[in-house]
Amino acid sequence: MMVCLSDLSRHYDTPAGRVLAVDRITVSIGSGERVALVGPSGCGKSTLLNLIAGLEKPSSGRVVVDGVDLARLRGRRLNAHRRRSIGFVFQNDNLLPFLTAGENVALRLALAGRADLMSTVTDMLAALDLSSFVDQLPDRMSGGQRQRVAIAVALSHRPSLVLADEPTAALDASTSRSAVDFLLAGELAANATLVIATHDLAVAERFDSIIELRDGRIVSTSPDRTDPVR
Amino acid sequence: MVSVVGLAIGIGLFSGMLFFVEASSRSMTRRALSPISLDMQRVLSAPLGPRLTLRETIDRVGSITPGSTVTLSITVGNEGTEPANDVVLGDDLPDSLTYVPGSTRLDGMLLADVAGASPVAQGLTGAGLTIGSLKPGRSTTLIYSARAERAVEVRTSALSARASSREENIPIRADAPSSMTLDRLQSEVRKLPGVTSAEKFLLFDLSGGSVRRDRSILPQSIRVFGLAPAYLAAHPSVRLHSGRYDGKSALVSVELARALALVPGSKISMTLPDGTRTPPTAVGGVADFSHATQLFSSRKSKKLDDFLYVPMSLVVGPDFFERWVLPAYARAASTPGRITRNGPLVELDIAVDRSTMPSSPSDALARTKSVAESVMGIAPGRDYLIDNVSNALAVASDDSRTARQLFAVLGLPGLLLAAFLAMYAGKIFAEAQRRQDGLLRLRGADRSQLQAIVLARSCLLAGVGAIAGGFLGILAAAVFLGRRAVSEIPMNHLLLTGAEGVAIGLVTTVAATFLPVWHALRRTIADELNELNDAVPAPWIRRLAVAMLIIGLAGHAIGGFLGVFDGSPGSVSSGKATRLPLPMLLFPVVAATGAMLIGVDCVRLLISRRKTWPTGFGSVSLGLVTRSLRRRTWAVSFGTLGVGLVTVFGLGVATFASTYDAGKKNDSEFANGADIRVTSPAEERSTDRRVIATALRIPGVAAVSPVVFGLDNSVLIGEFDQDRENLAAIDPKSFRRVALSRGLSFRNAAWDEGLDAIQTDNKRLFLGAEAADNLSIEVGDTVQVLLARGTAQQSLESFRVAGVFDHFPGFPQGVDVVVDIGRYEAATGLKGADFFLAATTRTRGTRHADVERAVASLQSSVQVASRHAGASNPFGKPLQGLTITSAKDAIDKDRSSLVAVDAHALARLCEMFSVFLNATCIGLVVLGMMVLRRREFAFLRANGLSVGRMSLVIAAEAIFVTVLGTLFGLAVGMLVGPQYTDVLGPLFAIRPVRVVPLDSLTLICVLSVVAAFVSSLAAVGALHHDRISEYLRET
Repeated sequence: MMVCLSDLSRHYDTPAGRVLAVDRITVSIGSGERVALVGPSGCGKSTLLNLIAGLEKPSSGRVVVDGVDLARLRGRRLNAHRRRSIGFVFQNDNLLPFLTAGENVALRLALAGRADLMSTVTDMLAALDLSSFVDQLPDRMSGGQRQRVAIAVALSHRPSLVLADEPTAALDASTSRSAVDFLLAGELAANATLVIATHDLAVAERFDSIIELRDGRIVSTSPDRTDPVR
Repeated sequence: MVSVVGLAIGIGLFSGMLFFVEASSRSMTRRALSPISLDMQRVLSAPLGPRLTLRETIDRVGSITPGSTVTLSITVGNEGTEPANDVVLGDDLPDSLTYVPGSTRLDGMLLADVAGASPVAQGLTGAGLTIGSLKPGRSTTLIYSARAERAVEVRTSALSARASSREENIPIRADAPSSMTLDRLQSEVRKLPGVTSAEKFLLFDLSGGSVRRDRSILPQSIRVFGLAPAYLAAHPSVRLHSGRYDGKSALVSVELARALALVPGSKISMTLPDGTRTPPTAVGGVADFSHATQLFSSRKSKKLDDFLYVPMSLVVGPDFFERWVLPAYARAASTPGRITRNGPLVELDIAVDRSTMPSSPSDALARTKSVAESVMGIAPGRDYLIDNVSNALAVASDDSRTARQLFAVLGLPGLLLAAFLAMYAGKIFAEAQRRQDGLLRLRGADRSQLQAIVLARSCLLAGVGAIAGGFLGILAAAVFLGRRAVSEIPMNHLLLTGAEGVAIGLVTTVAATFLPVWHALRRTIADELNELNDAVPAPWIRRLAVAMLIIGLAGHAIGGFLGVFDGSPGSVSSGKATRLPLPMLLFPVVAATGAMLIGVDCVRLLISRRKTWPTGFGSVSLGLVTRSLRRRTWAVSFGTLGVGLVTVFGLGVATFASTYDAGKKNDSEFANGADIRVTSPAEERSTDRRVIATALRIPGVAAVSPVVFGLDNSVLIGEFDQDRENLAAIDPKSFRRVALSRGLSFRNAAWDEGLDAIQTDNKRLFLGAEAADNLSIEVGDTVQVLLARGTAQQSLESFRVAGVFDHFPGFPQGVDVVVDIGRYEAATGLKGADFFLAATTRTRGTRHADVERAVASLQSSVQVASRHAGASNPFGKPLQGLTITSAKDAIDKDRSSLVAVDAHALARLCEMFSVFLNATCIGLVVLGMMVLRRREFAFLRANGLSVGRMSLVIAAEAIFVTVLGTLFGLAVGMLVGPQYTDVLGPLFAIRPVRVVPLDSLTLICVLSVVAAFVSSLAAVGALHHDRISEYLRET
């Protein structure tokens, strides 16, 4: 899935005045590309991911996904887009606490319109080396295990766009590496466009390209992107 | 916010009920006072004027050493102009003084001891020493000695000699101030503040043959009253039939006028007890005294309610009475060998100022007691006071207290629900705060610091809720009882009631809010930082629930076995209020709470059974709802418990109020006896009953049944004993058509079967259970009955007892013997009836409307008949002067002040609070979902779940909880409902039948579901406005 951001801005009005979270960003991310957004806290990484996902509306500019301007998608179409095409991974796992790991995955599949049997789900989790957690409720798992299940949930319906917001922030180095391996090496996300926000350069370096943000603006890209798509 | 609203509503219900009772106070006071015809009666103990004087002295006062002897001296004198006969002296020694045997001397003569005791304190009752007659101006002195057993302080105030005579049969106390004449007493009492009138009332019964007109002599005994015209003007229940009364002529009863053919202008004379004859007195008027309660109410302390009508009566002026009757009696009483029957009754009838009476019965009681004390403060120690108004207000005050306790207990569930909601809110708050609190503790915050924060927060929450609840309570009382009723509550009562509701609510809800959070703080920090676990109730909660159910049910059953629900109704005249077994109301509360806890735990166990879904997740909405309900059972349990408890108590209180209302209606119908009751005027009671019955058959009246009835109008003679009884003669055939006999039966037979027995054989009768028990008479026994006792037509007849009844409709004064009217007529020759019971024709409308229409038609007929009295009129003479009453009038005559509490309004108040409490509880469930699960909802939205489907999930959970809670509430409500209504037993003559208010029930159920929908929609509205990306990033 190709993502094109064109002159994209997002500001918030706060009691202390207007805060510009994303400031006229123009960049394109090719289909199947794996991009890491880096930068210090508050530089606008998460806001940019939310804008790409359609969770927030831009103050100005456009987000075009596979040639479709997200501003034109409303209500049911935007929901359908998120259900079918996008997979989210968050800093905290956000697993539903009353569902087992298997059911969390099954729910995500059901949301995407797939009525898989639990045996299918079990097989899927087994392939991700999570078979022992199929019937476990999240509060019986460790943080790393939960995050891996959360990644499995995000990838289970084979989304064409995976957005991950600091997925390793709460994990130690070893678990963090394992989680990123899980995200990058998994067969489920093999052809998906992957955008990750992280402040961990070790994680970022494992991605195809890195976009560095500061104060809501792109300050550098690696490799260099001199021909942004408009 | 929702929890504050919940607290406010719960406490509002509690304080609303308290305000409700306060606001009903004026009605209770008014109702207590309205039936009282005589406020106070100061009855003279020496109606013939004071004669006896009594002095007692002791030779030493102060400290007396052990073994010392003192001498007591009692002097009784006669200061009257006639001899005092049968003078009795009595005395009780002060404590620690013992009579010295053989020391008593009367006028110097030694008197023998009686069984070793003092002659003036002899026998168990200390009856005293009879010293015989005392001539005018003479006195006699009795001296005796006593010894101190131990060191004792003797004061003259401890002396207690008393003296009485045949003429002054109420003993006078030693050194009592002299009695006053009636005139002086009247003058003094009239000056007292709070007294509006003080009129003389004199009464004397003359034996048969004492009254004559020319040569016609009245064979019956006659009652003579001495009353001023002002007295009769103040009591309009004496209905002037013809002529007038000016105090100089006589006013005669219609019965007397008929017996001696008296008309205004006729002259009568009386032969008095000493044989003197009064000069001929002109008859000024003829009047109907048969409704004059103030003239014929019993003066016996235990029978003040009884109306003992004496048909042959006449009224003369007090001056005539004092000039002729009293001296004649005095002479007769002083004449040795002449036996006089009852002595004259001389009293001052006092009316208190009712216009400025305080609204609260207790304040009004304080006022009337103060007036009574002032009245008795004038020449104290000689007379006694019958304080009807204070007695009635004492009952009203007790009733008010009973009502207050009753409604406080009924409002208690509101308080408990407020506490429950507070606890639920506290739990939600604790869960929402747990991670934050965990972090604070991780950073070094002391547990006590956190507890202080929680306590402050709880106090704030409960304080705002309680104060808002107090205002809500007063608002609710104003809405349902009217603003005026609330504005009449005295300010001090208003503040006190408000403070009471708020304080109790505050304490309960602070504890309920604080405890869950305090409990949460006792968990480990690691637990605190973890995600929410589903709570499994501790085993002690289950044990407690079972114990509560058992205690609740067993306590009630034991109470029933011990007869605590069978209390007797109160009596206004004896100053005794109805006592309700109010503590028994706690048992249904306990049982209901236990049953709800058990039920909810069963549901929790049932739905949380482990289940796998091999077929996949299924429908997103359904899959989410079912799994959420199964795995988060604490939320379901709390919600179900809350909604269930509100439904149980809402249903319980509404049932209580409806049953109370229906019970009162049932009682009043029972008292009235039929749709309509028609009472003949005194002058028409000898008219052939068939004539009046025929005249009463106007359109709208289906059947009429005549009844003969009177208090003590018969003597029942059994095998072992006999007694005066109230007898009714009925026509069984028509009586069964008109009598409201629903639910009634004889002890040994069904209602109709019993009536068949005397219809087929008029030598049978029915007996009231009390009369049968007192005289040891059983069904099948043969008894003799003196019919029409005390009249010229009295006749002794033999009957066989066909049945025994506990309740017989139509006789609020109580009936002991019921016979066939045909037999009664055959034996006595009396063809009249005292009243008629009538049934209305049934139309398609309600019975109430039929009765209203028939009563209106009859009243109109009676008015026309009375207006055209003497002339030809379309309705005929028999309808003149009839009094027509329906069950509604019987309710109005109910003397219990509790009737003044508007049960309808109370039911509506409870209904409203139940609906609001239910809505709040459901709102709290939904809010709890929103607070605790906002990240879940944000996650689902981020993954494309539409708001519509999310609403479905929220609404489905809320409705599941609502429906489950309501169903449980209804089931448990049905279980404990009878326990609520049993408490009302002592209020009614007929055991009340439980009435479930279906309209209230439907309203509570429907509005609960609506509340679930509305709160779900509100939650979805909130979801729309949430920035989901914020929740997703929360850690």
